[in-house]
Amino acid sequence: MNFRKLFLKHTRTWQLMLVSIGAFAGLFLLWLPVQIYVDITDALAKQKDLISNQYFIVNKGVSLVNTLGFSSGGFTTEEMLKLKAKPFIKDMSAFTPNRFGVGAAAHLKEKVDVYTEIFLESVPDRFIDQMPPEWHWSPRSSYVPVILPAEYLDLYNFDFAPGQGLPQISQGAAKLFPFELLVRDGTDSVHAYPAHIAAFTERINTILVPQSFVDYNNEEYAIKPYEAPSKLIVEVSDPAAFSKYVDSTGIKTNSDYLRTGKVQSLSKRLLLLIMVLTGLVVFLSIGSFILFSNLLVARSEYEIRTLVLLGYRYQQVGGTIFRFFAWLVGGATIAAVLLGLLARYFVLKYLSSIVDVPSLLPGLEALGCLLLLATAYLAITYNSIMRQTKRIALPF
Amino acid sequence: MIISFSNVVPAFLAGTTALKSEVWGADFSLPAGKSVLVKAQSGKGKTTFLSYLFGSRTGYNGKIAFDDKDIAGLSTDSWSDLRREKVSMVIQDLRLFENLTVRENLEAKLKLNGQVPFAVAQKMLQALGLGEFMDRECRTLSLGQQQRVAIVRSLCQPFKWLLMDEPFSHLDEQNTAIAMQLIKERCAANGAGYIISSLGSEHHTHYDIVLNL
Repeated sequence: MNFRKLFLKHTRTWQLMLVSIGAFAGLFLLWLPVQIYVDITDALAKQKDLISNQYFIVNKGVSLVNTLGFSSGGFTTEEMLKLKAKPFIKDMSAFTPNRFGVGAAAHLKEKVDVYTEIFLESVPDRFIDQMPPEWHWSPRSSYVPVILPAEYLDLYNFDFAPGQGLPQISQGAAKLFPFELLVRDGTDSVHAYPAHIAAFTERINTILVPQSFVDYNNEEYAIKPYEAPSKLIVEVSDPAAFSKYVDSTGIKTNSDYLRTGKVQSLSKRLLLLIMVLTGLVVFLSIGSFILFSNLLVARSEYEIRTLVLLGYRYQQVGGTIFRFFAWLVGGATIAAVLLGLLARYFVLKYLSSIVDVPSLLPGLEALGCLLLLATAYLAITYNSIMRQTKRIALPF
Repeated sequence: MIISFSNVVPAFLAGTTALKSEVWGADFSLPAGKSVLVKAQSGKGKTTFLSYLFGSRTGYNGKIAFDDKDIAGLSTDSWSDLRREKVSMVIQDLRLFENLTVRENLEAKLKLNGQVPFAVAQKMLQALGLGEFMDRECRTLSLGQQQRVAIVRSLCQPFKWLLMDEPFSHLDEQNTAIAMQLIKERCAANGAGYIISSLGSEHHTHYDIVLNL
């Protein structure tokens, strides 16, 4: 059967182009977003440890009530247990603050000694990101290791030192700088502990000393009674859920880090919206494809009936017409895969600057979607063509 | 293959006696290999009669059978098989593919079961004076030429009955005689019979059976 001469004589090239592009667009738009969605999900899953298990420091916020001294703003045991029970909290601990008087003293140069009142805190070792090897203390230790926030040194180097005409200090140099911690118990006696900076941390924004040091001195030299802890450190497995929880309660956190979690969930939702719109395009594309095949069969009624009267079975005639559409869908599928791979390459190249990208090979999920849609095109078209050719083949 | 009619009346005429004839409402058989002429004026149902036998129309009361098998229950596939192997027809409106060449029109039939060589078709076409028109599109041919192509096409397959609906209406006597000769030869080769419908002319041929509609 000369398909082109028999069945395409009523069809204009631009109509054929349009319907091919429509099929291509449907397949392409379905495949690519699914593939990229899978890529992003994979990439994020890979980084789960990096992104998902984040540490946050939470407090209850400061209000006028705290300022006036009516409330300490601390967490009660009940509140802490309730928070710890949340599924997105992997680990949690309170900060232990110093309840003794403490200051830091250093000898800068001859006849120049500096002294400042400071505060100390400790957390269990498992929450410390930059654990120095000498991170322990006992009353017999020769010095106290201290962990400072890297921010403090930055503040000195980039804000304080330039203004005062002082030299900048590297982290390495700062660690060599000896000073003393002077602990007071409210009487005249002062206990001096040699100390030095053991590490800088990005995680915890406070001056940290080993838990044993705070515990020992609180025991021996406390001048304030025990208060409910005002700061907690939490390890969070699902930042998005944690973010939601923080928003719904009165507690505060160092929320800058939380925004990444919010951006993640927002971008996922945006992608979902794109997929819904894609679904619409796919639906329209299938619709126009079927309309076109219907039109082609309807316009070829004379040819189909004549072939049937010559002795062809309607399935033979319908099959010839269907094969044409199968080639069309096949071509559109191959074009969609090739162009999709190309587009994906550029998207991944862009993404690689943000996250670790997965392999360049397309995933089976997205290809499966594509094949499923291509099969749907073919199945619906086959059904429609066969039904129509049979109707035309029937006697009057 | 014996064709038998038993009290067949087109559904649209059922209940009227206006068209009682040697065909409608009658019981008769057409034995295998016979030549049959169906004579009638225009509008008496010649095309309807042949269409029933070709399966392109239904809607009659009574029974038509091929070798005692009622054809009313045949599926579209069975009809396709019959048209490919046993019943060929020259349809009144010819049903050629106008934008296909004569060769392509014939090939549409020849390739269907491949039992008649192209050379045979070519010879018949030459006999009918169309040898040079093989690669012309059918729409460029005159009605008479198209009629000859349609006749040759109907002969390009095996058959037990050849149905022809006013096949010579646009042919001169000479071409009619040649066509009639070809038809008789192909029918003899196939051991087949033929039914010709005509407005009255007997085409200078003797028929085994003449039916007046």
